[in-house]
Amino acid sequence: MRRQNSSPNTPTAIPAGYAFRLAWRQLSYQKVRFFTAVAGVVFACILVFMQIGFKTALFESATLLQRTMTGQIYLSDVQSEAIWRLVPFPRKTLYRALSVPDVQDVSAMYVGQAPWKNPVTGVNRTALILGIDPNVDVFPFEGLSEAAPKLRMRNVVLFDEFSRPEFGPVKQILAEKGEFPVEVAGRNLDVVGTYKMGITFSADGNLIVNDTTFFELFPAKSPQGVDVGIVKLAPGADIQQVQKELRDIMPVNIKVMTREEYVEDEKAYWNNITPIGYIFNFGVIMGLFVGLVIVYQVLYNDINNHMHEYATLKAMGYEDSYFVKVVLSSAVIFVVVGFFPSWLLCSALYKVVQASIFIEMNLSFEKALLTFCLISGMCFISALLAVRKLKVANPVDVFQ
Amino acid sequence: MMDFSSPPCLIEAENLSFHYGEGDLVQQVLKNVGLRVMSGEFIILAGPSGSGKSTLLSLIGALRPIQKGKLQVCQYDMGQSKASMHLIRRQIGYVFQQHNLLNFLTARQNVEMTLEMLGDDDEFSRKEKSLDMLDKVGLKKEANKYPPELSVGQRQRVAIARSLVHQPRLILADEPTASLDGKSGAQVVELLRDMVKTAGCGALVVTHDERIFHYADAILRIEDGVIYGEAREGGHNVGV
Ligand SMILES: Nc1ncnc2c1ncn2[C@@H]1O[C@H](COP(=O)(O)OP(=O)(O)OP(=O)(O)O)[C@@H](O)[C@H]1O
Ligand SMILES: [Mg+2]
Repeated sequence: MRRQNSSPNTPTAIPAGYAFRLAWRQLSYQKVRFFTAVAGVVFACILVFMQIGFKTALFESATLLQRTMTGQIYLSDVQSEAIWRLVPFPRKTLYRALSVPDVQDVSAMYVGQAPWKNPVTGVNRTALILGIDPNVDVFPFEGLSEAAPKLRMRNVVLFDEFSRPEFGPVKQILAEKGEFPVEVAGRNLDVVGTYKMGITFSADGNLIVNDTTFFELFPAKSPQGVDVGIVKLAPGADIQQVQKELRDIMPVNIKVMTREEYVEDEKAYWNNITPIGYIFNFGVIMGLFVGLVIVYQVLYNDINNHMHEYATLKAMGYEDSYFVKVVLSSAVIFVVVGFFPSWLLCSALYKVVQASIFIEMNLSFEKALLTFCLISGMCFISALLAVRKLKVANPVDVFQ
Repeated sequence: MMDFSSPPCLIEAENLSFHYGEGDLVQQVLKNVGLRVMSGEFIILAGPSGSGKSTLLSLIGALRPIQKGKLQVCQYDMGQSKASMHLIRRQIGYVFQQHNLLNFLTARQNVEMTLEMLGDDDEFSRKEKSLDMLDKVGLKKEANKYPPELSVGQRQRVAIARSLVHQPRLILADEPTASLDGKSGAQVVELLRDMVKTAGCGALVVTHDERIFHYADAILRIEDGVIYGEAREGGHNVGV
C-alpha cells in the first residue's frame, strides 16, 4: 500500500531502514574518518578481548587445582590464603570427618614450593610440589593414572609436561634415556614419568611426589599437619547436608568448602589480596573509554557539520526521532564493522599469547558475547551523548 | 453562504503579531498582520531588511509557534499543538536562501529524501519522480552528481527540486534568488511560477530582487512589521 501524500492527520513513520541507509551513506562518504572511527572501535574491542582473556585465563590457571581435584568437600585452615600460602591443620581433625555417615573417604594433600634444577642447564626454578597418597586418586590429570603406580616408590617424582620450558626437556630425556635423576630442594630424586596439568599463578612448573618423599623434601613440615583435606562422599550423598554436618563437628578454624566455594576462595585471594583483578578491569574500562571518546567525536562531528542540513530537513517535516535513528544507526554500524574483525583478529592473538605465556587462552563464545555487549554499550552511550547536540539543529535557523 | 467556486485559501492570517525577547528587551516584529494567499496565486513579499519577512514566513511554515492572532495554513489551524507542526511542514514546499543539501547524497538522493519522508516506499517510483523533477529544473544530467560537484545555482535548483518533488499545495520561498545570477534567478522564479500555474498550488516568495517582481500576481510590501497590500487582477486585496 502506498502511503504517499498523506494528510497531516495521519502521521507516517519513516522506516528505520531509511535512517540506517542515510547513516551508512554519511559514514561511507568520508572514508578516512570512517576508518579512523572503526579503528577506535577495533582498538577498544582488542583491549577488552585481551583484558578479559588474560583475566579469565589467569583466574582459571590460578584455580586449576581446585577445579580438577577429586572429592566433593575440601577442608583447610581459615588462615590458608591460597594454594601456595597454606597453613596446615592437625591430621586427626581430618579423620574426624569420617564420623559423618555419608563421608566415604578422606585424604590429605600437601603443598610446597622448592627449587628444581634444570637437568640440562643446571639453573634452578621454583616448582610447586604436590604430595599425595599414591593409593588415592586425587587428580584426574592426563597421564597421571598410568604413572601413579611408580609413585609408590620412594624418592621419585612425576613431572608436569606443561611446565615452562625453563624446567628443561624432561619428557624428551625420559623418552630417550628412561628414568633419570634430578635435583629437587637439594635432594636427588628420579623422574619416573610425566603427566599433563598446566601452570598456575603459584609456580612455573609442577611436580607430584608421594607423601613420604614430600616430608623428606620439606623436613620443616610435620606429617601431623595436613595442608588440604579432601573429602569423598558416598554416591548420591547430599553435598550441602554433609557440609553442614561437617561444619558442626569441625573446629572453628577449619573451612569446610564445596568445590565451587573452594574455587571462589582461591579466586578471592588473587582478586582481593593482589591487584590483578583490578588491573584487568581497569584495562577494560580504559579501552572502553578511549573507544567511547573516539566514537563520540565522530558522531558529534557528523551532527555538528550537518546542523544546517538537518535543520532544513526538519523544516521540511522530518522529526527529531529520525535523526536519533540516524545517529543510533551509525553506532550500530561502528559496532558491526568494528567488532567482528576484532573477534577474528583476537582469536589469532589469543593463540599467539597462549604460546608465549603457557597459560590456556580460550576465546569462548561467552567472552565474545560479553565483549560485544560492552562495545555495543560503549557505542550506544556515545550515540546518546552525541544525540543531545541534535536539539540545537533548529529549523528556524535556516531562515536567518 | 459558502462559495464553492472560489479557489481554496492556503494562507489566512488575521491580526497576527509576533515579538522577540521578553520584558525590556521585547521587540515587536509583526504587528496585526493580515494576509490571504489562494491556490493559483504567486505572491511576492518585499520589504527592507529587518522588516519581519523571514519571521512571517517562519510562522506560516510552522517553524515556530504563533504568539498572538490567527493563522490558518492549508486549512490547518496553527499554533495549537506542537506535535502537528511537522505534519503541516510536510504540506509545504520550502525554498531557502541557502540550499543546505546533504553533501554525501547525490542530487537525486537529496530529492528523494522528501519522498521518503512522506512514506513513498516504492523505490522505482521515487527514482522516477525525482528524475522528473530534476528534469524540470534542467538538471537531469547532473542527477548522479554530489552537491560539491555542482555550481551554486545548480545546487539551488536541486534544493528547489527537493522542495517541490512532492507537489506541495503551498510553496514558501525566502530569497530564493539571492545567491544566483540574473539568468539562473529568472529560471528559478519561472519554475516556481510554472508550478503555481500548472499544478494549482500557491506561492509566497520573499525577495529584494526587483528583476522578478513582474512574475507576481501581487506584490505585498512589509515595513516595520506592517503589511501594505497592492491591488491585483482578481480584484481582491491580499493584504488585509
Ligand atoms: N531569533 C531572533 N531573536 C531575536 N530577534 C530576531 C530573531 N530573528 C530576527 N530577529 C529580529 O527581528 C527583526 C525581523 O527579522 P527578520 O529576519 O524577520 O527580517 P527580514 O525582513 O527577514 O530581514 P532580511 O531582509 O534582512 O532577511 C529584525 O530586527 C531581527 O533583528
Ligand atoms: Mg530574512
